[in-house]
Parts: sequence; C-alpha cells; structure tokens
Amino acid sequence: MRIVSAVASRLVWTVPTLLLATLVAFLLQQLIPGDQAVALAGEYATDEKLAAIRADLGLEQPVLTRYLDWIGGVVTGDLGTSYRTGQPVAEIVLDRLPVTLLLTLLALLIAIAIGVPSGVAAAQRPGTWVDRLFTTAATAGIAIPNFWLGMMLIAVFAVQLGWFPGPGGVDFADDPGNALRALVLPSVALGMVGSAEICRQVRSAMIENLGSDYVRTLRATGLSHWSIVWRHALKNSSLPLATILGIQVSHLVGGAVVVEAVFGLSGIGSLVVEATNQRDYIVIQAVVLLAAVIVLVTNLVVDISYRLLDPRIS
Amino acid sequence: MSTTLSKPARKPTRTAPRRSAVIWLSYGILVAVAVVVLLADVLAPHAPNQQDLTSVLLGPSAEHPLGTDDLGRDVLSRLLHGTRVSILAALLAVGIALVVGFPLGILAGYVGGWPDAVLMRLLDTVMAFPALVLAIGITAMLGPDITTAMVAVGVVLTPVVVRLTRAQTMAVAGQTYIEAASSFGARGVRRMILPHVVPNVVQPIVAQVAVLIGFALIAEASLSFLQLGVQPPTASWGTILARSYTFLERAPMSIFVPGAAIALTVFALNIVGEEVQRLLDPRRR
Repeated sequence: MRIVSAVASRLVWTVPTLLLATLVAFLLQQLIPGDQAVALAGEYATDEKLAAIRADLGLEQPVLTRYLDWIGGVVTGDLGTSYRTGQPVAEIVLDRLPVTLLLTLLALLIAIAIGVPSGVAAAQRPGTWVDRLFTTAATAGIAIPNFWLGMMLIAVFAVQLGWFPGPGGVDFADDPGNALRALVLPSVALGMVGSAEICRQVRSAMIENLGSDYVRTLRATGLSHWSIVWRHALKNSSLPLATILGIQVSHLVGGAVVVEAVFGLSGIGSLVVEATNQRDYIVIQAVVLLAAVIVLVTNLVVDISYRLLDPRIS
Repeated sequence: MSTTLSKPARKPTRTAPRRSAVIWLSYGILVAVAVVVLLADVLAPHAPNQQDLTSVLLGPSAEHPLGTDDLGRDVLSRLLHGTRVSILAALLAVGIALVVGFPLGILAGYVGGWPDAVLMRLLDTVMAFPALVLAIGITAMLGPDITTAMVAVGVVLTPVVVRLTRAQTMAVAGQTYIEAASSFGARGVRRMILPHVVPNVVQPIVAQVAVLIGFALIAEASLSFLQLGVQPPTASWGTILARSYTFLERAPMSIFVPGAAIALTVFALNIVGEEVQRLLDPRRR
C-alpha cells in the first residue's frame, strides 16, 4: 500500500511537469526564424507549394490550436508525420530507440561498476595518496569529452588492435553478437564520465557514514571492517547513490547523441542530428520530448526508490 | 565524531604539497589558455585557414610543429585560433546564463511566493530535458551556427545559475543584517538588493562560473563536432576534432591534441573552481 500511495503522489507531481515539457518541446518550433514553410521547402518554392505546406502543417491556425492538435496526437501515440520521409514519426523514433536505450543502460552499468568500488576505495582513508589518486582521476574523468574518448578508443582498440568493430553500426536483427560487440566501445566512452561522477558522490557519502556513530558501534561489536563497509555504510549511502544515478541517466541520454554520431550508431541521437540537417522539425521535436520523458520517468523511479530504500521518507 | 576530530591533525601536512601542485598546474593551464586567446594571431605560425594541398597530413616538423591536416593547413595554428573561438563561445554561453539567471534567482529567492513557485516549476521543466538534447533542439530550430548554439547552451545553463542564486538569496534573506537594514527603511533594488543582498550572494556563483565554463566548452565541442556549432572552415576545438576524425585511420595522432586541450582546460577549470569555493568558504579558513 505504501508503494501505491508513493507512486500516486509522485505521479501527481510528474504529470504537470510532463505537460509543461510537451509545451516546451512544441514551442521550440516557434524559434524557427521566418516562415516555417519557406524553411522546409526552400526559398525558391512556388507560392502554391508554400500554401500546400502551410495547409498540411496547419500553420495558418493559431499556435494554441496547433499545440492542442499535436498534444492530442501525442497522448494517443501519434507524433505526426515526418515531412521528409512521409513516415509516421512515432515509427521512426521507436525504430531508433532500442539502440539508445541499450547504449545508455550499458554505459550506466559500466559507470556503476567502476564508480562505486573506486568511490568506496577512495573513502577508506580520506586525504591519503590513494584517495587523492581517485579524486584527481575522477576530476580528470569528468573533464574528458565522451566523444573524444570514443575516438581515442576507436583509434586504439578498433584501428590499431582490431579488437572491436570500428564505427558503423551493426543491425541487431542481422547479427546480435556483433552488434553487442559494437556497443562495447561506445558504452565505455559514455560510461567513463559517469563513473567519475559516481565515484565522487559515493566517496563523500561513504566518508560521512564511516565517520558516524553507528559505524563506531558496529566496530565495537567486532564486525569486520569490510563487512561494515559493504553491508552497512554502502547501504546507507544508497540515497545519494540513487540521486546521482538519476542525474546520470539525463547526462547519458545527452551524451549518447554525440557518442552515437562518433560510432555511427543509429539511435535517437543520430536521428536528431539527421533531422536537423534535413530540417525535419517534427522529428526533432519528438526526440527532444522523448528525452525529457526518459528523464522524468527516471526521476519518478528515483523518487519512489527513496521510499523503498529509506522507510523514514514518506 | 571522535574519528573526524582526530583526523585533521595529520591531514593538512600530508595533503598540502601535492594538492597545491595540481592547483598550481591548473592555474598555469588557465594562464596559458588566456595567453592563447589574447595572442592567437601572434603565436600562430600560419594563417588558420591557409591551405597547401602539396603538403597534406604531414607529421610534426620545424615548420609545422603539430603537422598539417588533410587540406595542408597548419594544425598548431588552427588549434591556437580554435582555442580563441571555443573559449569565447563558452564565455558567451556562461555570460548569457549569468545575465538571465542571476537576477531571476535573486527575484525568486528574495520575493518568494507565487513568482518563485512559477519560476521553479518552469525551471524544473527545462531541467527535465537532457542539457545537450535541449541545446541541440534549440540550435536545430534557430539554424546551426555558433551564436545560436551558444545561446542554446546559455539557456540550458540558466536554471543552474537561478537555483544556486535562489538558494543563496534565501539563506541571506533570513540573516539579521537584512532585517536590520530593512528596519532602517532599506527596500527596493537600489537600497536593499544591490547594497545588501547581491554582495553576499555573489561568492558561490563566482566559484560555480569556472565549472559552468567547463561545461560550456564541452558543449561547444560536442555541438561543433555535430556541425551544429562553429561552421567550417572556422577552427574551434569541436570542428578540428570533427575534421581530424574523418582521417583517423591515416593520422590517428591528429585527434589527440585538440581533445587533450579540451580535457586539460576543463580539468583546470574544475580544480580552480573547487579551490575558489574552498577559499571563499568562511568555515574552512
């Protein structure tokens, strides 16, 4: 029952933000300088063609009517039709989404696998050279652009050593094994920055916990150091960890755009870049909105997880 | 508490020397970057866009210390000019975020009530979008070029500035000296906000600026790499990386230097940001 009410109360908060997000995504179109029909058809289009486009996109109607039209479609899963390909936007986006989701998920796993143990290690003796090594490495990790790291990984592991396939995605339906192999380098490139941020958060949470009274009491009961670290202190660091993981998803989805471009993966990131080059505004709008939906859903999950992790939060 | 009390005694002596080495290195990097930004024309041995198709993809030599690219342009000269373009672009984005975000943050934090509630709701919404995706969306609509790209980055950075300023303003607004000033009749922007609130709010923002510039630099490089920011042939860290990526197999080293320039500069900015925060924090003195 607790969970149900928790989910319900968070949903009440998420829905208005979601609605505002659709408004922001829609209003992006208002930023297009000049006439959208001219932007789509080119400066030399005939008047009839421009009129046809305007009628087609409903550009003569007031903004509010167009927004309500669009949002009515969005709710039922109709994101409109691509002006360039004539395909339904929802179809195009859903076609590209799995690659991005898989890339983001793998990157998140890599970030956790590296970030959590190194944060724990750094917190053991704050201020010593081990701690400084990890914190300096983490600061350096945050500073490295993920797409550059991706290029370097390609230069070393794909071009020089040939261990992994180079840029150019592999279709999952054709060859799942190779497609997964092709995702290794991009996931590492994307996950490294995240691991650095996770390391810093885990470190500070662990230092606080390891210095607290309950840890002293546990030590007095004769529990071994590592059992205190992993079973008690880390468990009590799970709230800040959940927070940083939520933030990471947002960073990873953003970073995926550039990393996909470097590795030639056909996810929603490369979709938005293609759509920009083709001025396929409705596709851009859909991807931007989808990214926000992913983040909002993540935030919802994080909020609910707080309640699961800490019974004191109601 | 006993563990935390016993530690500081030995901590400073063990951390001080090497910590300061990293900090001095960071200051050094930032000074070097500043010099390049100011003197790119003087320092660059060649014009950044000057092509020489008889000497493409050369290795390092006396004439071209970092070699040439696929159009025979001097890589060092492009990097130096690109540094100027990238840094100025990042400063523009952060400048926009500060000019818009700082007053809004003060307003929200000091006035409170419904303006605060409405503004925070809007900012929550903006922050729901992954920063880079929203920046791409805005740039795509406005038409790709460096100014629109940096306006877009400025927009996504604004909520960060607003939130920080707002939190600090709220902390300051509850202080006794504000109450005292107000009991002496101080109100409004000129008599209350500017002389009493702003000076006490500014400090944490100053520390955050370095980190924001670092973010903006990576955003510029990302957007320019995607051809949404700086447009070729103009050199920037992003466009140089994008170009050299196309001939990665023939000259793998060419991607190293521009990326390292970004990484080192952002690293230095983050370290200096942390240091400024530490120096400005009265509790740590």
